[in-house]
Amino acid sequence: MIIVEHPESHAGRGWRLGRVVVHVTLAVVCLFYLLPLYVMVVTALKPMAEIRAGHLLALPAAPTLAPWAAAWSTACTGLSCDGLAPGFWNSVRILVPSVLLSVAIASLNGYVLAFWRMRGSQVLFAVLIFGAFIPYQVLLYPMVMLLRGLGIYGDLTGLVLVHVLLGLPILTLLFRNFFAGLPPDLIHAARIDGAGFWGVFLRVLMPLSAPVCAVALMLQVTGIWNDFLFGIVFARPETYPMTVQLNNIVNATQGVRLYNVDMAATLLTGLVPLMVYVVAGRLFLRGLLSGAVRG
Amino acid sequence: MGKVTLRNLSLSIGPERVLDDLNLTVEQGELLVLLGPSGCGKSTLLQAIAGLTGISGGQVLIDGRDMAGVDPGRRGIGMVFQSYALYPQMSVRGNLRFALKNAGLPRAEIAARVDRVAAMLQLDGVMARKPSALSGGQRQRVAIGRALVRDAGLLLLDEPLSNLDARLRNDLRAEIRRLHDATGRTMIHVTHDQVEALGLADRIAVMQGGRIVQVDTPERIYRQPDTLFVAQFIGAPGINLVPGQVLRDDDGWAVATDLGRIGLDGPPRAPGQVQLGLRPEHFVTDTQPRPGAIRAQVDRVEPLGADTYLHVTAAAQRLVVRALSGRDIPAPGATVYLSPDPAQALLFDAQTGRRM
Ligand SMILES: Nc1ncnc2c1ncn2[C@@H]1O[C@H](COP(=O)(O)OP(=O)(O)OP(=O)(O)O)[C@@H](O)[C@H]1O
Ligand SMILES: [Mg+2]
Repeated sequence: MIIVEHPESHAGRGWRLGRVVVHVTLAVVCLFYLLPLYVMVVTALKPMAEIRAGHLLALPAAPTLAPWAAAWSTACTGLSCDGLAPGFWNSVRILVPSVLLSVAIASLNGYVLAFWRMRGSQVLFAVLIFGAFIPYQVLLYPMVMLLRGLGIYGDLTGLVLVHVLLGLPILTLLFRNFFAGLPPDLIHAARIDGAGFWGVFLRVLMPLSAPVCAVALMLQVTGIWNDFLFGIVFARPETYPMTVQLNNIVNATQGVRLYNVDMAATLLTGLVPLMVYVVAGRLFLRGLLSGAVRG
Repeated sequence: MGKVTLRNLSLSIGPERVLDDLNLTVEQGELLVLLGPSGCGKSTLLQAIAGLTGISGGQVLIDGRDMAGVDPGRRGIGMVFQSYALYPQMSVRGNLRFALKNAGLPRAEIAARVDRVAAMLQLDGVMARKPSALSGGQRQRVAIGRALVRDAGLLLLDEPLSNLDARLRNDLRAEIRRLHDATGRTMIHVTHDQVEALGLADRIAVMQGGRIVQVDTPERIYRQPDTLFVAQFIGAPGINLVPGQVLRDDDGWAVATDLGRIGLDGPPRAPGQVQLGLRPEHFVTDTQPRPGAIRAQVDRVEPLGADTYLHVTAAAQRLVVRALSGRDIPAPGATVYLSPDPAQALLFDAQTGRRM
């Protein structure tokens, strides 16, 4: 935030007051977001006895990692007691191919839409924009029918297909707009230099696409990892992603509520998107800074 | 290698005719400069020759071969772009060898050719740098190197000097001419800078609104412009145009203008409305009255180094004339006497703008 102070202005006091208001507001908002996180973290580090003692905000007296281990490998859903681990691996198996496929296909689509004028490309573009804003609920039933028809309903493959298809419109737009914003002479130069369809794409454009790839990666990883709706609709208990598994653990009805395990499980589930923000965010910045596209 | 022929070339973008029925031959080994105001279609013409844009009619022939359907990479051309369009993620070396790698040449040959071009353009020291770490002049040389390294017979240069400072522009202009003479390649060089055009070209093609209006040597473009447009576009300061009427009186042919009677010599002309064109150096300027001289008042003095130009008003006509060197330069407000040189006067038909 930049606050410009004019030396001669008589509004100095007003400015200072405004700045105080802004800072207080920011602090309150921060607290509002950080407090629950704090509670989660300390709770996940406390043994149950300490939690029952009831000091929600107190630091753990005897910190323990046992709830984390339990959340990972022994926490019970209604059906089994394998913890989050199977869900984690399912999520990885869904995430990796979905992200790679959707980014690969979308970048290629964006390239074609941006540079290779073909019949119907305008119509396709309009459809894509529309597709990016369709509410997912509308698609659930047709998707179930489609996957049934293909015989992959309940498989991870089916879930991957759903994620790829639904990610394509927005990612394609993202890539198209990025490519369309590059100087056309860059592509002209590459074509004169004898680069063909793939040469222009792979050797000239993709190496410039780190920033937009980072954005796509963040969008897709968080979207797919956090997905609950498609996971619960399109998967079976053996193929449930981590989010669904988490839900089943937290909502398991037998026995006492193990708040520390629930908190640890929730934090574990949120770790992957968090890491992606940290890693890809840095990549994103580096991509922006090293840009200098107009050589 | 590198002879270009355009036959009735047309190109429309939407309803707009960007190139209109162009005919032009660029001889092998020639350095042709395409000159014209912004938006007249120069870049579009280069792109049409390179095959980077489709054409709506006519033919582009390179070495007599119709280029319809031939890929830009297979036309035997190198191109330098106004924005340079260097590949930002590749080093200078990577930029230079990109085309050769695409052509699938053996590694040793690629290295040899890249090194040769780098030496010719004095890029040896910066081969590992990215374009963003180069100066404007170095970038421009990399762009030229990238076009040269392919040993193409035809080089298309789209305003390669336009975003450099004046000093560097002069240096690199000389360098381009030297490269042309050393390599003997056909070059088509686009510019809207007439000084650059006059200094560089074997021949100049002047474009206006998607048409080529005159193709000639720099000398003839300057001295014998075919149209008013060419006359006005070439020369700095610009040509003086004075409306008048051609007539014949007892002293022979003359033009009656607001400045008075200006005698003409040369062959008889047809009477009619004309624009009389006189370049600043076509006046003898004096501070003393002379018989037949036009009286004028100096508004402004513009010293441009070697020459000094006077902006004057004579009979409500604004003129720019060259002050004779080696004499006292009149001050603003002074009165001067102008004697136009009738042998140099250009006459343009007031209706059609064509030279008579
Ligand atoms: N994509 C386009 N759509 C519509 N009109 C275009 C397009 N590209 C170029 N034009 C028009 O074509 C004409 C010629 O453009 P061009 O870029 O060839 O001009 P130029 O002579 O190179 O100008 P400059 O000296 O400014 O580079 C211009 O009037 C421009 O408006
Ligand atoms: Mg141009």
